[in-house]
Amino acid sequence: MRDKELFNYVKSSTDDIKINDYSDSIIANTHHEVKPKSLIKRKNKYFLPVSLATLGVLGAATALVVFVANSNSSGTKTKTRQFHDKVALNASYEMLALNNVISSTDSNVKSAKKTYTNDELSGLIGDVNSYLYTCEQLKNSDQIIYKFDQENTNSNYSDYKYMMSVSYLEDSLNCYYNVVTSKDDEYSIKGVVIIDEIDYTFFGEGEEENDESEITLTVNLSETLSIKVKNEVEIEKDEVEYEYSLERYNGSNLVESIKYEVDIEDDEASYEVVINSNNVETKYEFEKSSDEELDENLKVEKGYLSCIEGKIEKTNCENLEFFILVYDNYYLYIFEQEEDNLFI
Amino acid sequence: MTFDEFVKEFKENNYIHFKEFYDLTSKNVYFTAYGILKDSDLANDILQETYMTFLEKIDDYKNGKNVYAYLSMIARNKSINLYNRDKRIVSNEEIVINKYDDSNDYKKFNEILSYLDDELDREIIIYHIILDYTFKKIAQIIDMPLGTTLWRYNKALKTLKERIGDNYER
Repeated sequence: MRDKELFNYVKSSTDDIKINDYSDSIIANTHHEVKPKSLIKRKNKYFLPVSLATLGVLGAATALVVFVANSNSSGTKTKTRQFHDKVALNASYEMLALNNVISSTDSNVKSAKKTYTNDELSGLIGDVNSYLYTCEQLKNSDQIIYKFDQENTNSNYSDYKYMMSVSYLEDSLNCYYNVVTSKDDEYSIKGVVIIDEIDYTFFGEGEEENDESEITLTVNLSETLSIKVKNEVEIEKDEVEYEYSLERYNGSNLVESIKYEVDIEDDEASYEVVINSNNVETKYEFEKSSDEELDENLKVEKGYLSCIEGKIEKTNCENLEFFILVYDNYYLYIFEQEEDNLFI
Repeated sequence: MTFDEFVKEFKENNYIHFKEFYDLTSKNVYFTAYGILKDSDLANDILQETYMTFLEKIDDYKNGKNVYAYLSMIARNKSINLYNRDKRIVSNEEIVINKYDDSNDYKKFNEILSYLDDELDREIIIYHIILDYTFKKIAQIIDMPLGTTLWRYNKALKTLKERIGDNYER
């Protein structure tokens, strides 16, 4: 029996089971006391005099907003909210991926337990590890938690209407932005993202269709350095495909490009990462493998969770193939020459 | 509506959209309970109790959490408490096993569960395949390391493949 057949067989086993509707009795038997609202403390010391000065204007503006809001149908309002929710969701992937590149902390990348003396291989495996981590982050994107608010309450970023917080495992960041829609499903976006307590401005464009989403952002690292990130997601039946690309620019010169592709089918993922820098292309491939491919005489600790087959192809270099055994707390990289094996 | 919007209403005792919320989440709660208790009547009791607890303690709920997993954790804890209480009363294991709901709708599902001896393996299979939880979320729900969760899942899958595969091919 193939894995896909088994998965579908188990999944369909509950199709005929109906869940009773107890919603009315649950409400009838629930006892909850509404908490009184507490006073909101204003952090901005200038708020009070500013608020008094603008009270008249705010009053008039509020009346106008209420008038405009009431003239919208409830269907339009819901659709707008859904659209902005999708924009926030896609932007959240970009923000976390940027965090991987920009942030100086990498608390979630599995740390080296033991390394051998081959420095060049150690350095290479350090890169491999970070690419694998980003791919896994894309694959596990449902673990990305984002909180989107249509009303930015942070007065330090008052130029921006929307605010969003994003987190994945122990990484978290905030961003503030404005969205302008052009055609039905196309929009432009501009804002600031805070990574390691530093503000980075960004701007970009996106498009939302039924089962496809696309967004491109340019983030300014300094006056001359910038990163352009692009994220595409395509969903079909039992398959999901993520394409994420990152380009580093110095002024208008492209310095490096990295492209990630994550294909998920029947809960199995394969990854491909292609890096182009200084006319050298390096391609990394990762695919779940059976441990039957491993040398049976190889001595490894038992209890690994899964086996990944990896391959590195680099311009003018020999291909490098290896296995990665995934343990609870570390990865074991296994190369053809046993003395090259690395724990990382 | 987003889940944060549902919760905001519930905190104000506004349950106008509770049915919608219930329809979205009740499958997760029910099968969490059923996987442990293997009895539809008891699972229905836990289903109701879970929502009541969720609503009564709604002020403890923090926005941004995964609501499905949160509800599953409540249901799981209640189910385990009930199961342990029942085990003390019913000492004959055969009677506990016979409490599987034997209606036709449950036949295939119960058969699959019966192939797995370990309760935790059954839970993991339900959480991942039936309820689409990630392994990270499952590890949090059952309070086990991620690695152990993955290892158990693969082991359970292998067992099911062997057992179901035999019957499937016949």
